[in-house]
Amino acid sequence: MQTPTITLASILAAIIWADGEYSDVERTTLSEIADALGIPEKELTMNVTAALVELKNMDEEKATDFAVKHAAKVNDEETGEVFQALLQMALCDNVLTYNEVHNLLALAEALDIDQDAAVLMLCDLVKTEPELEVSFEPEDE
Amino acid sequence: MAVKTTASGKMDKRTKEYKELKERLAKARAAKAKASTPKKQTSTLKKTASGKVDKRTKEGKAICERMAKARKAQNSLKNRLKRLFK
Repeated sequence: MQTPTITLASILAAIIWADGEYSDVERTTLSEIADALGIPEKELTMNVTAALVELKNMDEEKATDFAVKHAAKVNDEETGEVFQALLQMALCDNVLTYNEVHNLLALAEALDIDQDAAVLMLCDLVKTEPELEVSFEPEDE
Repeated sequence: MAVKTTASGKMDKRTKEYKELKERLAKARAAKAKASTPKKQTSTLKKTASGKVDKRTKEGKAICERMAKARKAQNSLKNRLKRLFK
């Protein structure tokens, strides 16, 4: 990957931290992402942990800005792969929430992926996840 | 056992010995055929009234779990990246 690991890790950390916890399934998914993108797992994990420390002191708006700022640094040729990794992380807990969709679309924009393509990619993943729960409830602030 | 033969030298089909011999051969053929036919496996899976596997049973749950794993593997991030970008 041409995209710096710290950039990818920062965006992934923002998705992980959206629900305020770093669960086991998210750790497993991180390992899957490292494998699929050909990044050493240890390197990605260390960078995600560092980004999570930063994110813990931010409110939701600042966290989104942080993710968007890093998304803009992703290599132009790799935006699709990075977005797929973000989708994988957002859906790994088998619940797709209003806030996750909001964040994913904001990140797609920052990655310069048009909204139509982003929605199609999301649908492509969702159709193979029969256990996925789609929640229309806006999350509490 | 003395087997009666006809004038032409063939076995006399009308004799008791010939009939017994024929019976034994038929039994042997039937036994051989039975041994070579594979036993039809009967499923022990519980099924619902509609004939589908009952997913509430332990076996049904195990099947569902295996299918979910296979589905996940097929749609892994690695496979998706290959399908969409290569």
